[in-house]
Amino acid sequence: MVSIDGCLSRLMGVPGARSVTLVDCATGLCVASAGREDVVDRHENAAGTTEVVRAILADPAMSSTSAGDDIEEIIVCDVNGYHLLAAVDTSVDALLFLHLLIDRAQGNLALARHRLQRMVQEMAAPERAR
Amino acid sequence: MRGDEARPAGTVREPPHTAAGAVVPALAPPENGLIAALRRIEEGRRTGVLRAGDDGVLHLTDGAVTFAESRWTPAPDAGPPAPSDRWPAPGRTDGAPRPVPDDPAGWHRETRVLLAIFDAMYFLLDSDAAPSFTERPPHRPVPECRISPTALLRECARRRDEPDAGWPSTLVDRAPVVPVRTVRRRRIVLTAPQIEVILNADGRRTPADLARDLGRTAFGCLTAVRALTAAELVRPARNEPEALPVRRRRPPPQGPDGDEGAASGPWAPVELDVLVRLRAGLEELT
Repeated sequence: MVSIDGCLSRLMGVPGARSVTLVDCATGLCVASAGREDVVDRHENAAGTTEVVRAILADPAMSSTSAGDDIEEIIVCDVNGYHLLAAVDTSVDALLFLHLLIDRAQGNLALARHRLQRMVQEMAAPERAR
Repeated sequence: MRGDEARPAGTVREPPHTAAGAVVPALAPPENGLIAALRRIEEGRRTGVLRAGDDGVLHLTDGAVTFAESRWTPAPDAGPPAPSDRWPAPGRTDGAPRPVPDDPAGWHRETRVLLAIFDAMYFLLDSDAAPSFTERPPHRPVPECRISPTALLRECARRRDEPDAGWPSTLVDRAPVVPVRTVRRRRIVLTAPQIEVILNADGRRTPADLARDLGRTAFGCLTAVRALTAAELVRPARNEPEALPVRRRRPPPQGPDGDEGAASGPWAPVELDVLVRLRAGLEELT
């Protein structure tokens, strides 16, 4: 049985991964986290991530079409790293986001995105697909 | 590979501040009996059931919370909606087959219980019932999650710091969500939870009712209602409690074993529910 910690430790296996947090955007709750917490602790991380996601979801400028796109992934590029925020579509009735921090020197953005999206798809699969 | 840094499954989620030896900031809610009782149980690493009158129960194992229920929040045992009710997940356009998951039910269940515990605890802090603790064997041999009371109270304090925008948490099950008739702003952008609430707000159901009907957390619904109030789409709830003097009572939540025995009086709670809704509806007409 896949647990939350199992999912997160697999994401920590992505090259260059520094930390990964699962955030509930409806409440700003850190559901689970793995990796180091030397910049902000995971509760601040979850609250801050929620603010970013809410701001982008509420901004019509952040849409490619006039009808309004759905946000799938938000990428913030630091000088030293990449923050990947990916929406997890689940049967759990909550708006969940994964926040993966990748070291810029040791990681690869394309690879990290690929692995993150694969994990999102696995997590989103309906329960009957067992 | 940095998987060695990952937290092993089943560990108690400790707040990092206490792990680092720093001082835990003062909690926003006043120290009530429930918080004091929870602290004592955590220190003594005790196992049992902490009951806050008829308002709710917390199940603890070795001082960590493993399950929580309150009369304000939806039960964590509520199953997911049937797959046919939902839009299919967006498929890959390149024709690649979707990867078959090992067992997503595991983390779905874990997440649902975790969200429900934080949700129940936030509203339980408003309870003025005297808490009582009973030593008992763990209600579930392998709990979905274990949350330290310190982490739980920290998160509740953070949630309490958010602006209430005319919607205090004590009214979550008392004041109905009433949409405004005319919108004064020309453009308002809403998030999906806010749209769900405003589409289902009928002037009768409270945020707690909406959370139950929509399958969301009560705090998530309350946050959406507060944002809608700030956007002037929903009337503030400050003066509503006079309209609903009868505090609605659900039957006291039972443990998942259901071994508490039924304790409903001569008045079935569902009738009271109907009466209050009827009254709110009539007042809406006048």
